[in-house]
Amino acid sequence: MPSAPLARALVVVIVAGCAFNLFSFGIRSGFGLFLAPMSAAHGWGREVFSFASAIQNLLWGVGVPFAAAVADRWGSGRVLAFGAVLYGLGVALMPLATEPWMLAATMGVLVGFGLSCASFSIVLSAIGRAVPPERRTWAFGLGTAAGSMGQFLIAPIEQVLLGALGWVDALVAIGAMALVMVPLAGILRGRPAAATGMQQSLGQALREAGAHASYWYLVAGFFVCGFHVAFILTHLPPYLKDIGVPSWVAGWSLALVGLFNIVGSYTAGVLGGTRSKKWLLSGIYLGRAVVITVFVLTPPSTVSVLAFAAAMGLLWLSTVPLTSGLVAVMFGPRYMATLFGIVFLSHQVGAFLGVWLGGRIYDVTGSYDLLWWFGVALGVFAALIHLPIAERSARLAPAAT
Amino acid sequence: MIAAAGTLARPHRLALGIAAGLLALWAASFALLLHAAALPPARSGTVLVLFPPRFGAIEAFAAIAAADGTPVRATWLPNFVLADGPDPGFVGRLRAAGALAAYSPFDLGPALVDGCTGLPPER
Repeated sequence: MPSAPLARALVVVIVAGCAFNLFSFGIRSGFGLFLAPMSAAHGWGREVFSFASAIQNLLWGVGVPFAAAVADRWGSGRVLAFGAVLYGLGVALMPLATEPWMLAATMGVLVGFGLSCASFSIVLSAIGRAVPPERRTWAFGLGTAAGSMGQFLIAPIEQVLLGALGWVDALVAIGAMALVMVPLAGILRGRPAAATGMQQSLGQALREAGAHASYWYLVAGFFVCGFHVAFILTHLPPYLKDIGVPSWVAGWSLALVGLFNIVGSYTAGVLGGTRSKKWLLSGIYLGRAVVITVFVLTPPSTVSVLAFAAAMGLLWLSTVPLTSGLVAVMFGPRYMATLFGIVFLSHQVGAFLGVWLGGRIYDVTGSYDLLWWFGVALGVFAALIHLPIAERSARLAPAAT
Repeated sequence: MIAAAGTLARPHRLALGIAAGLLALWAASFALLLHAAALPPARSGTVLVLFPPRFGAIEAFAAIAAADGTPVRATWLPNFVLADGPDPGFVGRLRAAGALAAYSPFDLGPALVDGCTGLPPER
């Protein structure tokens, strides 16, 4: 019985998926390093770079469902490889951007669409096909944790490249580094097989999900995740500056979020295999609401900030394996990439609003207080919206819950 | 499925193995990169100096002074110090005084992680 080759193939797929996510997440985590040198070279204000980043995030979110649909239909390897090339090309062409619109076109549009095709939604779907159903959520947690590791491991490489080569050559080198994902995409090739005895088209899958209330509860919940994550990442450092916390704490706080996120993502994946995913998600969002409340009400100090960061880190992308796991439970692996891609689009809309509203309301009120309490309210909303989710195959449950 | 079940019977071991493997690969790549990025001995000016781990701040500053340089500032890693030496051959003198390597200045800190949004937070 050829069990050893099959086992090796399974491990290779999981390793390839983890490595792909590591690069995909990691490369873009260092883009902020290039804000200062690029802006200085061209005399741009901060808004030019930030706008290109915002375009990137929006197109990443908008593009994922379509890229995932192509992957579900034609195979994930080609889509992931195409995404890796587009991603690398976008980065490598950034030095040629002498006008703001050119930066928006390269870093924004090319990288954004590259990210959507090299999306973790497609990677998780490819990993999910390879593992038994009872290990799927664990595998999703592992893949997500690997992406989080990428944010720690790739950014220092980019920093050294920036120092050694200057920003122009460093960006070209980083663009070339993205091509490492192409052979990994080859290992993640394949498309979901149709379920035995049941043929379903993409349109039918979309209609099935659209008619399932639990799916929309998941979409609403993941919107909150995007809002929280983007708001905190973008506005925590200036908030800390406003409340008089030393500047070095801001850097360490974001790093702690990332570090504890590795633990949180993997743990959520492990727990999601044996516990109710919707209750875990509800607990995570309620936990966020509690952590934010305690943080806002506690007199600011280095300890309170770092404790907040560690706690939020545990509750950060731990939502990903559980949310994607629920999509797989409800609708199976056949069109998981597409359906989770739509959920992820909601996440990115939330992220866009989290960043934009954070700045807008701060400009109007002179404070982040309103946003923090809005974040608490959203956390409670998300905790409640997950509870009525029917955590079983949609084909066993009534269409409307 | 039987093969998959066997392989995933100890999932945490597999996860740790994958993490260790990726970390090892990264460490090797990063070491190669640091080696390639090291400045030549003839270089002078403001550089980021890497000293052996046994060097504390005092030893590092003494080595910089011995190389006819001036410490500019320490970093959060005690053996990584920003130094300035205007005379040619500063990097070579630093290495003679015990430095492992010197690099073009870059921000060495935990604030490299910008997270999944990719939006650069204000620093």
